[in-house]
Amino acid sequence: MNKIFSLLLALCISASVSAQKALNAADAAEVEKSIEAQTSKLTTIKSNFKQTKHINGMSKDYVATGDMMYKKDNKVILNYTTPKKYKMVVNGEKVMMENNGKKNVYNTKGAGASMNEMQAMITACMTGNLQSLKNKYKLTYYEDGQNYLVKVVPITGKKIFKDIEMELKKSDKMLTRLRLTETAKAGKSGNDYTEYSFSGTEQNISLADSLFTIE
Amino acid sequence: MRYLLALPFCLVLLLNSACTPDIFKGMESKGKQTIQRANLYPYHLNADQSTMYSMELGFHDNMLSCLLLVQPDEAQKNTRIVCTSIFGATILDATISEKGMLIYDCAEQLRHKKVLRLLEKDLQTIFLKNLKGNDFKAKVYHKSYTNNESAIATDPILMNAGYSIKTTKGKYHYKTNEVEQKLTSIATDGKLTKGKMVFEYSDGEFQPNKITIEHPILHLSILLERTE
Repeated sequence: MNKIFSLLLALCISASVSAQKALNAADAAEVEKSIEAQTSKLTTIKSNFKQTKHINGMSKDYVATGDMMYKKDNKVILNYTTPKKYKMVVNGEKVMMENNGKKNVYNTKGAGASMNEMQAMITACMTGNLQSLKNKYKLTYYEDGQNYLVKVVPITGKKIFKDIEMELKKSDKMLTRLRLTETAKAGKSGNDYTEYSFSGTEQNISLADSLFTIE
Repeated sequence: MRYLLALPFCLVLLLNSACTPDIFKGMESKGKQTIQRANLYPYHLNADQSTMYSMELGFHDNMLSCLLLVQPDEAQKNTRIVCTSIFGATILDATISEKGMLIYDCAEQLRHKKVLRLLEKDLQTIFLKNLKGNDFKAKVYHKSYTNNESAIATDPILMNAGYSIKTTKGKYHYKTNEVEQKLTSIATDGKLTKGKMVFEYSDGEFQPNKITIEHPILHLSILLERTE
């Protein structure tokens, strides 16, 4: 019974992937150029997000919502509002976590290579800065009527993620969905993932530096 | 001479109180008895349904917030435990059973034998997987209440019960609220890992909505709050 279910699931997944058309090398280069042209103009982003954590075998997904702010070059705020208020501020090498008014400040400089790599990679994906990923990841481009899908697969280093899927709107090249699929675990079938959906995105609006200050 | 005679009596009293675990202070020893798992009022998480807790790990002055997802698997007789960061990264993915903890995935920072052993011990204790079988030999303690103001003589009401049980992982002390029929706290012995767990419940609920774990010697505290 499980085998039949797995087969059906695999068929559904392959059907959804096949809905996206893979781009040839020339078209992919063109898309990459246009995404980079768009993201190079970005100074700030403000967006709402919905975060879904899916764990195979668990009866339900964990869903959290909040808003995200980004300011060039390396300033990010993730402000969770549901189910619990929680705030993370990244400003250069400093990270501040705030929970129930308690603040903890960390320096990512001594946090280890894998932690730094993960932070750089997630920031690059959230802001669409694909150029910075090309050394360590293989990028494959797909498209459908409205979106581009970029599949990011690690080729070197620690493979924390099996792959990362980025969905960008064709019209403004803004990220609408980001899915980070974890590598399969020994003794467990399937892959767990965390998906961020972005909505109400605003670009190049005024965001004061003081918002990102870490004390 | 009279004082000398009183000395052994005082010594016995002192030794007796010194042997009483802190959480049973003020309770009356009832000697060794055979008790059943049901006496500890194990709370039952919904089978094959996940329960979510927000988790705060405190170590000295540092605080880490994460999520703990727990799902019992009736068929496998184990409980799946997944701890993730607020941002979704998996910190620990394991199953716990009476046999121990089977780890599927674990963050680099947690991969230390002592840390994992403590986590295993705490998680097994919280979900009462540290006890094998259904019957246990326990040292029993009682605290009763007698209404002396009533004109009619009434039997004392059992308020709290305490059970000290020797397990393969050390001695555990369980305290229950007999009126509400709930497990309220567990104390664990150990040199460095000595700890206390407190279970708090909302009115009419049989699953704790808040669990506090403290290991004072290690300056480690864990707070679990049920979110769903």
